[in-house]
Amino acid sequence: MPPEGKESGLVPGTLYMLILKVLALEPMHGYGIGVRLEQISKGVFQVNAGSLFPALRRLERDGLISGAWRITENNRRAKYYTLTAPGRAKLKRETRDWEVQTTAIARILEASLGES
Amino acid sequence: MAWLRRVLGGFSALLRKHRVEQELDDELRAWLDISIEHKVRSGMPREHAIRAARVEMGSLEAVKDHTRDVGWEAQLESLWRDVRYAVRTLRQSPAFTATAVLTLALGIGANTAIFSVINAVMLRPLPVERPEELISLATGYPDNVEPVFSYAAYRQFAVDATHVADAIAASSVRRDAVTIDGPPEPIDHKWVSGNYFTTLGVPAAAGRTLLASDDRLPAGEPVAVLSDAYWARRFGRDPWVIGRSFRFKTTAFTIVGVAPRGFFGETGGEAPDIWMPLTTRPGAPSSVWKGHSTTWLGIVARLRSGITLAQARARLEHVYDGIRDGVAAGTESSEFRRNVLESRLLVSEASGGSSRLRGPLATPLMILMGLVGLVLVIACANVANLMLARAAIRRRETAVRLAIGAARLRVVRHGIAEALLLAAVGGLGGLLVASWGSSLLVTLVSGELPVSLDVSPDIRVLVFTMVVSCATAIVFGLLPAVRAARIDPLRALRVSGGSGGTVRMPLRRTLVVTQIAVSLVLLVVAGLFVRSLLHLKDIDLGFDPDRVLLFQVTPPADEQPMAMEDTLNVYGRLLAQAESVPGVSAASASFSGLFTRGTWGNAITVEGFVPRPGVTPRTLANSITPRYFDVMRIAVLAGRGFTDDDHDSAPKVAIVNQTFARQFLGDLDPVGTRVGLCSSDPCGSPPMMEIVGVTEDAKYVDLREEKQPMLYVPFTQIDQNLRQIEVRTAGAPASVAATLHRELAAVDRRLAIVAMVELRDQVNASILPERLIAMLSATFGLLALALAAVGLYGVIAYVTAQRTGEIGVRMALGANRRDVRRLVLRDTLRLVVVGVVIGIPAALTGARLLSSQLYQVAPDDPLAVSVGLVTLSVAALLAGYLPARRAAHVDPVVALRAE
Repeated sequence: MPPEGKESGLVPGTLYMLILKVLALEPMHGYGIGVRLEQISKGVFQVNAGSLFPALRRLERDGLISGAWRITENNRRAKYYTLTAPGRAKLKRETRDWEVQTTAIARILEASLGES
Repeated sequence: MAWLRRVLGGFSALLRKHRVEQELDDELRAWLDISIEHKVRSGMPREHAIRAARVEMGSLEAVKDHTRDVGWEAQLESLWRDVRYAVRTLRQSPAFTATAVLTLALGIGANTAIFSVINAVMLRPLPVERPEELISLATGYPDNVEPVFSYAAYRQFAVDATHVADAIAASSVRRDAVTIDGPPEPIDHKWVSGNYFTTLGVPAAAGRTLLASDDRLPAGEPVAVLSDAYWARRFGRDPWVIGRSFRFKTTAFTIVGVAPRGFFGETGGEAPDIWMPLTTRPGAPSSVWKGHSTTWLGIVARLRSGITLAQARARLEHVYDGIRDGVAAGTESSEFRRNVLESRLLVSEASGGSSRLRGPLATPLMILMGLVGLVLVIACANVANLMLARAAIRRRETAVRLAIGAARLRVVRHGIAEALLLAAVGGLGGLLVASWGSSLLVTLVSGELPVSLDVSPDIRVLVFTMVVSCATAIVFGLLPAVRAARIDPLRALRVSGGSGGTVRMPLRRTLVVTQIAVSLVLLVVAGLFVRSLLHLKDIDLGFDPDRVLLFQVTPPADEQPMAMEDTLNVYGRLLAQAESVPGVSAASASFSGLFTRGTWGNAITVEGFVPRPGVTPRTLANSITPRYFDVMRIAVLAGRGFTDDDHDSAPKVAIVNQTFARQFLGDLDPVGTRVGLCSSDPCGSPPMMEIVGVTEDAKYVDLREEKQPMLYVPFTQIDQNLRQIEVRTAGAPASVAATLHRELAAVDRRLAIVAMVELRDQVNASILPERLIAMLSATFGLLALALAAVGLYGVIAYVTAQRTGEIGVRMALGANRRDVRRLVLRDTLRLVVVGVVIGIPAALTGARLLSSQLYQVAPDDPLAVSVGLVTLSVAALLAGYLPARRAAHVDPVVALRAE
């Protein structure tokens, strides 16, 4: 496994979910995904090529996204990734799991004596 | 389904490797371009933007590597890269590679060879349908196991146990003669029950096999099935052979079919030419078919489906209860009756068939497997040592690789790839060594025993070789690889000379000590087996087996059984003809031969000897022609031998051996005493013969047998036919064998000479297992010693080379060459002493385990141990002396300048 998101401040294992989420908004090329992640997270997450490319390769291999070469708005060729149906289902599942977990974690962290 | 997608994705990536790479390149370039454009648009100068984008991206190669590593195919590719790298590094050091491969090929080859023979003798299932359903029967008497039954017993098993198992019966293979279209020719034949082929599930390759209807009493139409080998050898695979006929004794047999290629029957090691139905056996007396007096059939059965071995055993034992009663009731000998009543049926699994070889060869083969395993241990230690030496030389290279960021795992993996590659090539070489070695072994075995063994590598042998090769690779490869990866690059690079560092090398010394100890074990064990064999060879046979040729002659097919007169006539002419051949010094004939199974034992009555109640006096007996003692060189100690005057109308005479005289006549002079051969039990009053001579004792069946009484009678005075001709030659038997064969055959064209062997070979065959084990353990011991010596030499030479500087200093300070030699030799000696201290107790323990296989040699035989020690020491000192001499010739000036 490539070192994932260590230096970018990502919670381990969440990069796949975030990429799926970004692609759920619109098809995007590699660089665009990185920029979008940074924008949405207001600069908290910075994902470099060394993390992003292996992640894209893995998602593509698993059939969750599919790539196709297209022309960008500035007339360049780039590989645009689109969410596939299994990818969409996976994102839904992961989002739900994530919410369940974070809620639970948040409860634990907010817990104070007397509450049980 | 995700895994399937991953697997398929990997394959398609592998197939479209070039395109996938290209696309990754394109994608990365696009990323850079877009990144630069993005930065320029947000106001960065173009040059800065380019640099910034590059920095952000980091190492392009690293990104690609990580991306590639996502798929499993990348692992495969990196393994392939490791192997290719290993091929390159191994080719750079051909001497190392050759030594390692040769060592491994010898080690693995020796193991595979022994395993091939074990496989052929013990593991290979019979080439029949579902061999795992087969069981075999035998009778266990109080002091021996009898593998054959009477025809009546077979019928009883076949009929009464038919709901648990289908029983088949087969005689053992016998050599005899058939007449096809010219003079009689020798063939190996076998009598089998009619259901033999159908029950074994062996279809005919041509024509048909035997049917139950071919085998009935009274006998039906005589038919026969040929073996594939005989069909090819004798008839050139002529399809029209079906329907042809041949004469066997008095009967014409019609060939109805040919058995499939590779089918040899139910007994491993046999190779019959012809199978014929039991009941068509010509000239068999009625006692063969009724009662239990003639036991000649081995019984194998196929369990019916759903029947367990235990169920079948219970039923068969029940059937045997009836047979036992029948056998006991049918005998007149009270001694035999007691034995029979105590006997029980032995039922055993027989997927490998019943093998005559398994009994005598099983233990020796297992011992050899153990010994040859030790040789492999030494070979592994040797290669490990070589790899460690190489790792030391490549320390710097490894350190550099680690320093520039190679993962330690990668270094280990490379070491292992190298080891696996060496083991694979060594294993292939081993297969070559094994195919040569195992066929040599088979030649050794079948040179004296009439057996055929198929040792060609099958899947079991290949798997064995593969597993052994991989195991050796792990044994010799893992340790050096892990050690190489543990190198601290900083320290390794700092040390001057690059190769410096540890001179003491505890690991390599341990390996060498192990080698010395293990090879000492092998040498001592080999010494014990050789001594044991020498003892066996030293046994006084009581006859001279050298320069004696044995012939077996079959009378004409249509004149069997031959009348006594004709036999006398024919043998008289045969012996006269043999003695007329130049180079022949004497010829004789006899009923039973020496060192064969066909002995003749008889109950006797001796004048003046009163047996203990309930014990029947018995002796071995033989009917012989007058010159028998001359041919065999059996000394006549008192009285006289037989002469031509002892003809059928002369007074009946006999000759006994010393043991006979001592056992039955005590202190009395045997000459003049009268003895009689009993034909019933109790003996009654048989015709009496007068003892006219006493011969020395001899071994009759087996080298290890106790002394047995023997009674010789002239063939003219007894109703017992002659079965063997013995010819003593003046020179080497081989030089006259062909002439003799031709001359004997010329006596009567209708006679067939079905066998010709040397008596020496027959004697040797009886100690074949002992000779095999002595010869091979000695070979393995020497091989082990050579490997250990090479290992020792390698370590000492390396250490000495490392100490060149030190030696230079010593010499500069006044040490002379002898001091230096002693310095190095002391180093050698220390290793040898430690090895010996460990090896001696190990050898003694091992020898004690093998003591049952030794003949008149104690497991701690001082001679065997000291010979082992001396051999080892000489080899070790030789291995140490070469580096010592080199060290003594070091020029101190050169040595110190190099420092």
